[in-house]
Amino acid sequence: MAAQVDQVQSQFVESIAPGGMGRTRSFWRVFAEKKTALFGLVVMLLAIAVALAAPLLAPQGPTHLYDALLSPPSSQHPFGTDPLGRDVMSGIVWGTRISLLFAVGVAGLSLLIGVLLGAIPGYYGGRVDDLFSRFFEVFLMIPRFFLIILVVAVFGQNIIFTAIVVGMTSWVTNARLTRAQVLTIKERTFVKASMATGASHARVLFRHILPNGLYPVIANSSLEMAGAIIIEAALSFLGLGDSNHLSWGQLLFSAQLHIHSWWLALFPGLAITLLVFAFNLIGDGISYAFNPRLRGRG
Amino acid sequence: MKNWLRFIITLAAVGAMVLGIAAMALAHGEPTDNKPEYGGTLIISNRVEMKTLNPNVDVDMESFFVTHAGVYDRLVELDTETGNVFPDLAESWEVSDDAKKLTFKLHPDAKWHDGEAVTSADVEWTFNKILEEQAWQSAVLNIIESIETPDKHTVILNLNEPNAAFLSRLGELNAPVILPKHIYEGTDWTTNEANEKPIGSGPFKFVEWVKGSHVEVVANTEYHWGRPYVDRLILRFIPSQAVDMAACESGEIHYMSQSPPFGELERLSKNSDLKVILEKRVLPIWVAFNLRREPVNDIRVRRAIAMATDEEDIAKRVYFGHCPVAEGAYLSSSWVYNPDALEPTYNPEEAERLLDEAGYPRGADGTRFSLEIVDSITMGFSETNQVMKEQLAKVGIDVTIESIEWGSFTEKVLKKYDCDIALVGGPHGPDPDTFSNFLETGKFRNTMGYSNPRVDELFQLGRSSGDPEKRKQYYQEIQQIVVDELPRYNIVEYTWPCVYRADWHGIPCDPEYDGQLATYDMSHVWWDGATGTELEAASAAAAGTAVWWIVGAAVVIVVAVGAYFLWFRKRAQSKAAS
Amino acid sequence: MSVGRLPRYVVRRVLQFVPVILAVLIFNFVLIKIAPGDPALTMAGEWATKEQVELVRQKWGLDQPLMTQLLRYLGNLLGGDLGFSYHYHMPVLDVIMLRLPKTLLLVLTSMIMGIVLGTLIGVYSASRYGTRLDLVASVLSLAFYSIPVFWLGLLLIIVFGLNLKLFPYTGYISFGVKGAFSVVVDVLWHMVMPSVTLMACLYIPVFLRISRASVVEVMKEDYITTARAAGLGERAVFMRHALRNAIVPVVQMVGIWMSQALTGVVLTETVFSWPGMGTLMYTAIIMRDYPLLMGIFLITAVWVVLTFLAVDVATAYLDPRVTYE
Repeated sequence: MAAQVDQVQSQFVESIAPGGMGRTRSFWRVFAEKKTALFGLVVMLLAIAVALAAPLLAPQGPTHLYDALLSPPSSQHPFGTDPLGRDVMSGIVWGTRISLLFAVGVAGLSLLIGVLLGAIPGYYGGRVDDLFSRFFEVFLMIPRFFLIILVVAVFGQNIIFTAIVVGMTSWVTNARLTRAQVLTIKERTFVKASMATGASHARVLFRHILPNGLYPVIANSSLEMAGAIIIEAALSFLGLGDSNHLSWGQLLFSAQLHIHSWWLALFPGLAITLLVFAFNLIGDGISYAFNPRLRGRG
Repeated sequence: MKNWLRFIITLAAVGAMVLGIAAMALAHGEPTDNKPEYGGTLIISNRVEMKTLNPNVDVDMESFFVTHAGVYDRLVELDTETGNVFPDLAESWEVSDDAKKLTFKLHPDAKWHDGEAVTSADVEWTFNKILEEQAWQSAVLNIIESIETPDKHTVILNLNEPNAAFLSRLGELNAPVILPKHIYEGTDWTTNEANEKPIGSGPFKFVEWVKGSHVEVVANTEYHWGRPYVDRLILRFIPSQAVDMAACESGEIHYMSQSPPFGELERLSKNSDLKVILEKRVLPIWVAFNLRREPVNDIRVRRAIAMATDEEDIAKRVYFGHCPVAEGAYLSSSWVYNPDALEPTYNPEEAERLLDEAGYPRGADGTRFSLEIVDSITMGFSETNQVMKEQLAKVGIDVTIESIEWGSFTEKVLKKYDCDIALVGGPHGPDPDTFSNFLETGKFRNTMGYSNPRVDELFQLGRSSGDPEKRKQYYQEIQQIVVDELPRYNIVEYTWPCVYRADWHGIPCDPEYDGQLATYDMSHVWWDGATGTELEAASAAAAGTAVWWIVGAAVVIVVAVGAYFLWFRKRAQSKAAS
Repeated sequence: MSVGRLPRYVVRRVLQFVPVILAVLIFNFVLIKIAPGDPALTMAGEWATKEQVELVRQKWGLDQPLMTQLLRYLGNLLGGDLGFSYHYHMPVLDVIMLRLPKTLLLVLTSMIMGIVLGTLIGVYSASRYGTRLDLVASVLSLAFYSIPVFWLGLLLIIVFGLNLKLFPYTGYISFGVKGAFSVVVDVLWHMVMPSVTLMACLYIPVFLRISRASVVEVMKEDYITTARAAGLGERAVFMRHALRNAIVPVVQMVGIWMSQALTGVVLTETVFSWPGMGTLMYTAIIMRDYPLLMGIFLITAVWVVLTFLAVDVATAYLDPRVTYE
C-alpha cells in the first residue's frame, strides 16, 4: 500500500550523504527553495490550525444531529449533511484532529521501533546484521494490508488499537534506513574517536551516530504520515472505522451507500487528498534538501 | 374502366391493406387489462450465494427463494401478511383438542419432478431424518414423539406435549421442506448430488446452478396447485447493496431481496419504473440490558435510559420515518398485543431525576457514568447506536460505541455477555411463542440474563394451551411484566423496504395482491409484458398470430397484383393511344 | 555473469524461502485461532441451540487441540488439499482459483499500462530535467499519488457511471453474455474504470517518479561523465548507458508492486465490485472463514516469494555489480 511505496523515496533518501547538512539554517534555506515543499508546509500548518481551532469553527461538535437529513450543500450547511443529519463541514473540521493524531501516532511508533531495530544491526554488523536483515525481509513478505484488516476486523475497531497495529507493521523502511545510515556513519572519524575514548555503545549510538543519521528517517516519516492517513481512510471505507471518532474516512463510508449524494464523497476526499499531498511534498522537500545529488545538475 | 371506378377500387385496396396491417398489429398488442398472462422471466437478487440447495441439511437461508415454494414444497405455509397457515403439500389438516395430535392429508396429485408420486412416506422419512441427525431444524421437530402414516396420503404427527403453536411452526422459516425419500434414502444426505441438483415437488423445476453467478429454475407445468404464471426464475448473487440498487433501477434485476438504504427510498419512490413497498415483518429493534452489570441492573437506571431515548428521533434519522416507533413490549400488529402495557415515553427531565435518585449524580465534566453499547451493524443498528450516543449524552451518560460484525458480535454478546447494552433485532412471530427465545430463563438469545419464574410459567402455559383467548391473556400479562421490569425495551418496528419493478405483480410484498403468500413465495408472480408462455403451447400462440399474418399477407398480395394490372393496362392503353 | 550459476542461485533462494513461508503460515494460523469469534457459532447460525453448535464444532474438527489442527492442516497441504471453505462450501483451492485470475487480469493490465506510460513520461521528463515540464510532471504525479484510490473510484463512478452512463462500473461481466468474443469484449469494457483508477492514482505516478528519479540519479554517475568525455553524443549516452542502469530500481519497484498484487487492490475491487482476491479476502475475514483465510495467506505468501525471487534474478541479470553469493 502507500507506505510500501515509500520505498520509492527511500531509495533516494538512502543515498543522502550522512549528516550532510548538519546546519539547520542551511537546511531551511534549501528546503524553502523548493516551492512545492513550502506549499506542503503551509497546508500542514493550516491543518494544524484547523484542528486546534475546531471548537471555534464547529462548536456543536462533529456528531451533532441537525434536522436536515442528507441534504445538499446550502448556506447553513456549506458541505451538506449526512444521512443521520450531521454537518459534513463540522465532520471535516473535527476530523482533522483524528487524521493528524493518527498520522503522528503511526509515524511515531514506526520511528521508535524502526530506529531501534535498525540501529542494532547497523552498529554491530556481522552475524547480527545478517539475522536482522533476514528478519526484515521476512517481515516485508507478510501481506501487510491483509494483516491489518484481519486484526482490526477481528480484534476491535478502536482507533488507538488501529494506530498501534499500523505502526507495528510499517517500521521496516525506517529500520533499513537507520541501518544504512548507522553502518556508514560509524566509520567516520569523529565516531571512531569517541569509541576510542571509551564511550559506551549506547552513548556513541545515541549521542553521535543517530543525531547525524536521522534525516532520511524524518523524510520517510513525513511520507509515512501521508500513508497512515490513507490507511485510516481505507479501513473506515471498508467499514472498519471507529464510530466513536468520526474521521474523514468514515464520511466516505456512508458516501458509498448514498452515491447519489455527491457531497458526501467530494469534500472528505478532497480533505484527505490535500493533507496527504502536503505530507508527501514535505517529505519530498526534506529528502531534496539533504541529497546533494538530486539538486542542481550540471 | 371508368376513372372514378378505378379510384374507388384503389381506395378499397389501400383500405384493405391498412386493415390487414392493423389486424397484425393488434394480434401483437399489449394486453390492456391486468389479467395475469403466462410467461416472462423474473430475476431476483440475493446478497449471498447459498451453500446448498437442500435447506434441511445445513443452516443456509440463502436458497429460500428457490427452495421454499420453489423447487420444494413444505407441509404448510404461512401467509406473510396475516400469519395464517395455508396449504402447500398438505391439502387439509386437523388438530386434536388436546393439541397433541395433528393429522395431515396430502394433496393426491403431488408428484416429484422425476415423475414419482409424493406419499406420506416422504414426509415421514424427511422428519425422521432430521430428528435422527439432529439437524438444525430439529429445534422445531423435537417435540414430535412419533409419526404415523396410515395411508399413502395421510400423515399423523403425535407430539409429546401439547403445543397449539406447532402447526404454525411448521410453516416458519426454520421448518423443513419435504425431501424425496427415493432419492435420499440409503445415501449420505450431506453429499447427495440432489443437494446441488434438487428434485422436489414444488412449483418450479431446477435448471442450473452456475456457481458464483446464479440459480435458474423453470415453471413446473404439472404442479398440483397449477403451474406458476411466470416461466422462469433466476436468482442472481449480488453482494453489494449499492450495486443491487443500481441494478434494480436499471432493470437488470426485477426484485432486489436486499433492502436499499432508507435514505434512498424517497428517491426510489419517485422512479415510476419501481414500486417501493414497506413490508411489515415481525421484527422489532430493541435495547437489551445486560442485567449482570452495574449500573443497568438498577431498574431506575433502565427506566431513565428508556426515557432518555427519543425513539421518534431515531425513527426519523435512521429509518427516515419509514419504520413506526414501538410503544409496547410486543409488536402492535400481533393478535396478542397489549395496548395497555406501554414502555416509558421520551422524558429527559424525568430521566435526569431518576438518575440522580439512583445515586449517579453528574460529575464535574457533566458525566454520570459510562456505558458500552454493542451492535452488529446491519439493519440500522450502527446508526441507531450513534444517535443514542448523542441522546444519552444529553442526560449525562457517556456512551462508547462498538459496532462489530456478526461473528465477533455473537462471541462478545451471546457468549461472553461482554457489554452493558446490546442493540439487537430478532423475529417475534408470527406465533407469540417466539418471544420466549429472548425472555425465557436460560434461552440462547436471552442475552440479558433475565429470569422471572412467573414469565417462564406464562410462556409454558401459552405454549400448551389450545384456546386463543387464554393464550392472549397469558401473553398480555407477560408484556405487562416486561414493561414494568424493563429488561429490554423496543425502539422501532422494523419494516422491510421491498423494491421491485412496477411491471411485476404478485411478489409477496405486493399490496394489491389478494391471495396468500409466504415470505419467499415467488410462484404467484406475473409480468405485465407477458404475452404467452414460451415453455409449451408456444406453437398454439404462434398459430394465433400466424393466421393474422397470413391474412395480412394475402391482402397485400391481392392489392399489389391488382394495382400492377391496372397500371399495366393503363400504360398499354396510353401506348396504344400514342 | 555466469549463466551456469543461475539455477543454483535460484534453488538456494527457494530453499531459503521455504522456512519463511512455513513461519508465515504458522503465524497466521495462531493469529486466526486466538481471534475472538467462534466459527462454529457463525456457521450454526442464529437459530441453533447449544447442542447444535457443538455438533457443528465436532463436524469441522474445531474441538481438537490447536496443535492437532495445525498438524492436520500442514499434512493436508502436502497433499495439495488446502481445506474446505466454510462460507462457500467448496474446496478452498477452487474458490481461490475462481478469483485469482480476475485479480491478476486487472492488476497486470493496469500495471503494464502504468509502467509503459509512467516510464515513458518519467524518462522524457528526466531528459528535460529542471524545465517547467519536468517540474509539472513531478508535482502532478505526486498529487495524483496522494489521491485515495477508492475516492477516485467513487468520483469516477458518480461522473462516468451514474451521470454520463458511459461505462459499466460494477462486476467484471454483464449477466447472460455468452460467446467467447462477446465475453472478452464485455470483460474489457468492465475493466476500463477500475483500470483507469488504478493507473491514475497508483501505477503511473509511481513509475513516473521512480523512472525519472532513477534516470536523474544515474546521469550524475561518473561513468556518464566519462562517456561524455569520450565524445559520445548526449543521446547515445542517454540511451546506452543511463537507461540500462536506471532500469534496476524500476524493476525492483515492479517487484514490490507485483508482490502486493493479490491483496493490495482490495479497495479498488470493493468500489467496483470486482470479484477478485481482494474482495474474497475481505469476505473471508468478515465471515470468519478460517480455511479460506489460511489458503489466501498461503497463496499470497507463495506469490510474494515468487515475485521477490523474480526480481532478484532480474536484478542480478541487469546489474553487473551484483554477483551470486
